[in-house]
Amino acid sequence: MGRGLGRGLRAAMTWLHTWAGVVLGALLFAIFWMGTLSVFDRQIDRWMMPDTRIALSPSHIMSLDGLLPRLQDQIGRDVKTWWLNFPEPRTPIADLWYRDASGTYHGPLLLNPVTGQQLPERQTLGGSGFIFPFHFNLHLRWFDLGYWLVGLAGMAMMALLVSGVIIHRKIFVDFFTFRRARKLPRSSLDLHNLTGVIALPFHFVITVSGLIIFTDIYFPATPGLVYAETDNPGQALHHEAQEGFSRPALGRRGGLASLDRMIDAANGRWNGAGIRSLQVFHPGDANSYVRIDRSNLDAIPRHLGVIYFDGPSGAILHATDTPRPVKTVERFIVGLHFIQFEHWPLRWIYFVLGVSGCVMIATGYIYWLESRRKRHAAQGLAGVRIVEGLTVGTVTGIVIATLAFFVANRLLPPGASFAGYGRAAIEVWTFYLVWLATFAHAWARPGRAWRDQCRAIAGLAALAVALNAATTGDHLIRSLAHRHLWPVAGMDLLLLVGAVIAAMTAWRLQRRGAVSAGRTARNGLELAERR
Amino acid sequence: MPTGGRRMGAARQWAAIGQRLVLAVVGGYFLSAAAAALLALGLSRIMPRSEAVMLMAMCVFVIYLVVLLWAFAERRLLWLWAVLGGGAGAAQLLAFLARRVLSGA
Repeated sequence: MGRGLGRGLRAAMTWLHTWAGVVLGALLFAIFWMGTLSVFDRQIDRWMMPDTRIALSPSHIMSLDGLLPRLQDQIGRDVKTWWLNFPEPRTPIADLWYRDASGTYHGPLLLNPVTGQQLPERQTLGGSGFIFPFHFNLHLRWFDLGYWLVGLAGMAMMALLVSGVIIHRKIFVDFFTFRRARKLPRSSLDLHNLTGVIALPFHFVITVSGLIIFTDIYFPATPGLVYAETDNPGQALHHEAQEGFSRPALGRRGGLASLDRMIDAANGRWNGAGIRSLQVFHPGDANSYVRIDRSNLDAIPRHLGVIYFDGPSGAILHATDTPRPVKTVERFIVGLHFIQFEHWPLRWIYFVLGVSGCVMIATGYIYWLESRRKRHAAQGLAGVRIVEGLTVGTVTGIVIATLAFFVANRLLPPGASFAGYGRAAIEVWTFYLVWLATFAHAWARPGRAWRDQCRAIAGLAALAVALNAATTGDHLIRSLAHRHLWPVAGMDLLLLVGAVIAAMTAWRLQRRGAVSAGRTARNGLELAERR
Repeated sequence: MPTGGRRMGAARQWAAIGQRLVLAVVGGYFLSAAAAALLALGLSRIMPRSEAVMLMAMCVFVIYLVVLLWAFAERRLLWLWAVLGGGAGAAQLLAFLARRVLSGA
């Protein structure tokens, strides 16, 4: 490879990096922000659903056999299947789902895992129902548009990472370079490189694994040739790869053996690893069967062990403990992304690396803006003005919208409704309307948008902490003292840290604004004196 | 765009960028999708077929990434048309024919 080609490649990759970054960076920031929060989505759930702040002790989990009659009264006896997700340390509730005779899915019904009592309807989507799905489908379900936009952004992210590395001449020097005192374009580029290089392996793995999770949606034709003889190649592939088990209903009535005993048998086989979920197929039929999934809190791969039991007899029909190698690799990659295993240091590292991804995208935008500001002003181009509003709304705007979502959750009374929308929907509308307003504000007040929005972040974050204390009584002193309230304490503490950082940023922006305004005034004065 | 050169007019330059973008994103997508399905078929001869498909269902993103980057690094637009337009069409046709033969058998 000659020098000319190398230079040409670098120029081409710089062009790609700049344009893909400016056009798709806003979408990427939203995905990164929501993904970073999703690391703690269950903790956010506890904060947003005070009824579920339950002290859980593993020895007191209800007996399923004891619960069964009440459960059947509740969902009816004529259901195709029902399943129960068991509580985990981060989720001290059990949730029940079922599919009725007409094939419609219902759920979740939330149960207190200690008493088996049904909990009040949650009336919020919370972290796992709003923030987490936003991360992968943007809540745009029309023709799966959200999935495709996220997929496009994911491919762009990988192209940005590779082109970013190619653009670099001195990747190891950049690793240790942060010229904080330099001018803004230079220091923002340093920070962009620093966060980009340090977290590069994380960013690449998290992006490619996120794409792989939805390979069925993005590349549905991959199994089409190998499974050409089947009606539904995708379904055939998954059935075969998961070594699943199924059998039709007989249409004759049949009993159901002890579920507790099946759980004990499964637990014994897995050396007490615990149960993630239990599903009953064709309940009440002579051909009913029960699927029990192993808890994967102690391992990265998801859905590691599955056992199928015969419903009437309770005998083991089929078990898959270790899938084939490639399937195991796929489960490992997917599990790495979902981080549903129990590992606190790693969870915090994910969070910090996710924040560093947000910083990388934001500083990329700031570098783009500051290195063009003078030129665009001189040439009368609108680019900087447009992109600056986009950047402010993307970065501080989504933070404000998220905080407004939390504040609305604490302000709205149970059963609140407005114009036919329920409480959960009002929270979501609050998020979107506030987010739109931040873009409008950023374009309308370009000079002070960063500062104003940082102030809004500081105020809203502090307000959220105060409202949690006022409406639930779980203030920090109390939540820190009780182990089962630590998710609430953690959320409150992070909100306070965020409030302090935002307030300090707003203060520094104000001071710098005053300095530069003073400089402009002085220059004007000198100019006037000279005349 | 580095391919443009200063002599090229702005309109022509943007038209070239538009072609490159569509060829990269759309042509590259259909080329990668067909390649993954065909490679899975080939691999299914040397490993269990579900494993072959799972492998390509993961690797297809790397294929697409390489195609995307190449599409922005390659200067000759005609060559892009040949590979990402013609190549994607040919691979899709091959996959279509293979599916007809295999599902008929």
